Amino acid sequence: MHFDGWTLALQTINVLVLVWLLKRFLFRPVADMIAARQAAAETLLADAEAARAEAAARATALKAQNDAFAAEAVERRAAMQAGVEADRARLLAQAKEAAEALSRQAQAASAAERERIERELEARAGVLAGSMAEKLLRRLPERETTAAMFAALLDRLRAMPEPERRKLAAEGTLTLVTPAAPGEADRVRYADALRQLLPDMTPPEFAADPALVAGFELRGPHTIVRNSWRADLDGLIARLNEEEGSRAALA
Amino acid sequence: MKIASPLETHVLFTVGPVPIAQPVVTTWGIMAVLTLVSWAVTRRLALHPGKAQAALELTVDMIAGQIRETMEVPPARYLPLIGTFLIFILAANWSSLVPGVEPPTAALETDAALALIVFGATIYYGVRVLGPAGYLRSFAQPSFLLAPLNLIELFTRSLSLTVRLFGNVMSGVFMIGVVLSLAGLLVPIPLMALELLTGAVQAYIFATLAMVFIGGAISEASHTHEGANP
Repeated sequence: MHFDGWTLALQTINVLVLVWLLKRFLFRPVADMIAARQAAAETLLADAEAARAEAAARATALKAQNDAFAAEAVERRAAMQAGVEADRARLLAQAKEAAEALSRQAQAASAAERERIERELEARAGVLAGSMAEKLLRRLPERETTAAMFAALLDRLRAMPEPERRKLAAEGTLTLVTPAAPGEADRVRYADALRQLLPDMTPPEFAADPALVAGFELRGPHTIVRNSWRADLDGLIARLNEEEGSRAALA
Repeated sequence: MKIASPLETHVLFTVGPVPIAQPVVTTWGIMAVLTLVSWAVTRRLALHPGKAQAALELTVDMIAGQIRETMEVPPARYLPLIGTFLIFILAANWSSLVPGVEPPTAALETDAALALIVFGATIYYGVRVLGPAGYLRSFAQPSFLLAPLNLIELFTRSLSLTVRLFGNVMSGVFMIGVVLSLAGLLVPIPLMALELLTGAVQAYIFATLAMVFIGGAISEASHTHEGANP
């Protein structure tokens, strides 16, 4: 057996050189590449993590913005509802006020109409009462009523002041109106009786007016002396209407 | 074919007083091939690897994983040495497939050189990691009485490395040479296939034992599990 020391030394050097060569041309490049790939992967992971964090932050921001929008929407809805409620209340108040005004106006119109109708009815009732009284009075004997009414006319003339009587006599021709045309004897008697109270008067004229019902009217150009049931009925109706008007005004 | 004496070293030429034996020249050739292939493969590494780069990275990563699991340390510092052992011994053992080439690992000097490097690396890394005193104290573990045995083991295991690799490779080459000289051209092929397997296994064993020895040296309790002896 032969053991060569030179070969041992050379092979030792050879293996050590090979270690260096493979380290230089094989292991280090491959290790560097693996490290570079790991670094790239870590960079990608870091980028992905950063992107994920950014996405999460953006999602959080969007959620916050969404919540803010929702809160603002609720706030605006509440404000709008409050405005609507205020408008509704105002409109209701206005409508209520208008309705009450209309109601008051309608009530006033209704009261006025009712009052008008009442007055009209009362007037009609008065006319009707007058008509009824007229019909009833027509049943009385004409001679008795005529004599009484003529006496009353003379009393009324007699009650007038003297200057007014003179003025009445001086106005001109007077007309004595009766419900029916008087006979000749009545005309003379009526003219004589008037001439005693109105000595300056011209002979009177005579006229018939059935509306008088009963009584007389002495009509001058400017003056009328009335003493008929028509005048009395008209006076009663007018006074009655006047009293109703006063009562309605007080109410 | 080595049919005369497997223990003889054939000197091809001399450089001055230095004889250049056949295993040395073969080793140079293997070194050139490995360096060129490594340079060719690694000169165009990319982040998106092709098939060849992926296979290369897988191989390197597998060796690094073996170092990490066996030595329980970060593999970067030990990867060139252990990886070179594995690749060189595998390439040297399989170089017997090239006609006319005798594997360098069939020469006792090559195996002794490899064991010598493991021996030196064990001491170097042990001292570097534990410090000189710490490394010396590791021989007295678990008892001071075992220090002589641990010291003897430091040398004998290197010797065992040499003899194991030399015996396996040399015997395979010698057997193939004998059978080829007796039977014919195609008869040794099954033996050559078996020799491929043996070469791969021996490369793996040598690298693993180197990891175990160095790992044991950098661990204070290393001497308790350094008896691996397949």
